[in-house]
Amino acid sequence: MAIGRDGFDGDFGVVVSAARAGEAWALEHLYEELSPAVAGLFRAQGIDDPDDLTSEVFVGVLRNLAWFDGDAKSFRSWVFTIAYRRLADERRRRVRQPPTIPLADRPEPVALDDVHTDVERLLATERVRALCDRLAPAQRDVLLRVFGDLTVDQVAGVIGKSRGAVKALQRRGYATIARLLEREGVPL
Amino acid sequence: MTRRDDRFPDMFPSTQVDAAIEQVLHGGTVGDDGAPVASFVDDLRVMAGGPPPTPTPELAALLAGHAAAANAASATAASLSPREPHRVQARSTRPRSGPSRAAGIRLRVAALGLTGKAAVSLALAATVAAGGASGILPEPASHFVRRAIEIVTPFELPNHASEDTGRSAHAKTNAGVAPGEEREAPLPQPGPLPAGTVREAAAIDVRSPDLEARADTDPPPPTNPTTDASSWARPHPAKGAPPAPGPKPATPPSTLPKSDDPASGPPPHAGPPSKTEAGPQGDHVPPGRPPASAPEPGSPQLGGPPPKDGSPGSPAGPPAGRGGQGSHGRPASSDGPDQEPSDGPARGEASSCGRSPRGGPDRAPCGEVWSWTATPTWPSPTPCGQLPTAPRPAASPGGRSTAPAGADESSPPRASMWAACPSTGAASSTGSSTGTSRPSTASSN
Repeated sequence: MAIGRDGFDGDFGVVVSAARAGEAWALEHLYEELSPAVAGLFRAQGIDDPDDLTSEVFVGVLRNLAWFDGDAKSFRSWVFTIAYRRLADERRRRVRQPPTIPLADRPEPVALDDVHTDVERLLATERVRALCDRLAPAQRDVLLRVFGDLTVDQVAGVIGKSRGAVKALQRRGYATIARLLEREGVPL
Repeated sequence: MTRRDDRFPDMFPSTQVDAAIEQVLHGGTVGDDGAPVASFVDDLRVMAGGPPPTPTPELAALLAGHAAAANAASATAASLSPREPHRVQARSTRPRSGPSRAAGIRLRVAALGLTGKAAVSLALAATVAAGGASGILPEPASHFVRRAIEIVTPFELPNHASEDTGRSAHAKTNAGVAPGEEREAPLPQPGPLPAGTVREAAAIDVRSPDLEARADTDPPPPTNPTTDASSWARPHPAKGAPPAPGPKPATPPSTLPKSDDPASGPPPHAGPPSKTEAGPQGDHVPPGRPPASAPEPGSPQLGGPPPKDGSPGSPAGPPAGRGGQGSHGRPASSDGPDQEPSDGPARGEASSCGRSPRGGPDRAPCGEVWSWTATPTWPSPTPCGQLPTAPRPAASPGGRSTAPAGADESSPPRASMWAACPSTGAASSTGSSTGTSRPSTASSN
């Protein structure tokens, strides 16, 4: 089954087989298709260094690729399961260790080829992070539905909650976001 | 009763909210109420659609298909990573040195409460006392502890060194039994015992050398030696120490007269004579020594090599005053410093008072007196500490002590008071010449 948004276009089996064989093109293809979503999830969660954490996620993915068996949706769900566990670890680490305060806000890297898109993404990232900071962590976890393009059941399996709990969380999150945006006005 | 969702009419039911969420997530058309949320979801998708982040060196190596390089990079990153996981350090199995161990013990004791410290002190004192009583401590420490216990408590502990000497002397007397004289039943003949076992077995015999020496001077008791042996020298069933194969004469204390008639000694001692084997100082049983067999009349009692004077089976055996050689060729007179003539009898007798180590039925409990008659009648209910220490009258011709009237009224000194305990039987049979009267009910009857 082809998933257009994943970019595999029906070649997921071939890509995964090549990646298991250590083909560089297949590994890079997997990484380019899924790492932006994982990094976006981490940014939305307020992780200090989302790129490093994303790299850690994919190191785990590529090293355990031999034990994966499934289709593209399952692969996506598996990758975000690993990402969510890394996120949980990072949350625990932040609880144990004092938070690091950067000397200055580092702007997101902007590519020079498509400035408009990059600026738009930068602004969107800032708005999202400003809104997600007001959400509860459990409500932020439901954002997996957007970043991972997962179903309610898949999100329930990733975060370890029931289907009803996931639905309740997304309702509350939806209500909170709606209230915040209505109070502050719709941007753009 | 209204439902929960009906309280606020302007609020969407959950089903409608879920449907709106699904519409937003799938990019469908939403109303004005869902427009802000739709824009938020669009922003999320913009965030998720950016360029891939720059991989770390480890991931870059993996992406390049170099698993080995990725492993190396992983190791390097792990060594430089500030998020290195905590490592549980295993407790070192290397034995700590003495000072550090002592410091640890001090810290632990210091951490205890008052009750704990008291308990530790009591335990230490009890351990030292038990060690001194059992003789497992080194000789100076054992002597010190023994003296301390004797000073603090009314008990008197056996002097093991004296026991050794006494046992040697006793072996000498056993070796000198006249031919044809019936001996005690042979002991079970186990193999050579380890040193510790020998010591435990030897601890049964607690008669002092002075008592033994006194026995040498006494006339032989007219009682049946067989019955004497049965009453006095029962082999310990549990220990079964092998009898000494060789005579081990020992020199009695010089303050006491010596007798050249070993047959007039105390009843045959069938206690574990391993100490006799090992000599006065040793618990060592020479390996390879054949186990002693039952002594036959006319043969050396303890089965040792015959004397070199060409008189194997000599009834006299080695004379007591000759300072017979031990099994190790050491003169028995070398045991002199270990002997305490003044305390010897009391200690030897008191040591078996109710506390005969593993003596079992061989020992009379405290307050009971052994009998030396043909029909062993024991116990005598004479309590410990009430026996007289008046000058011992001469033994009756029958060898039975005749206790003078009023002997019990005398207040014995401390040493002799405790000498009235079970081994008084030994004193009764052997000490008739020393004048120790003994209210043995069996003998008096």
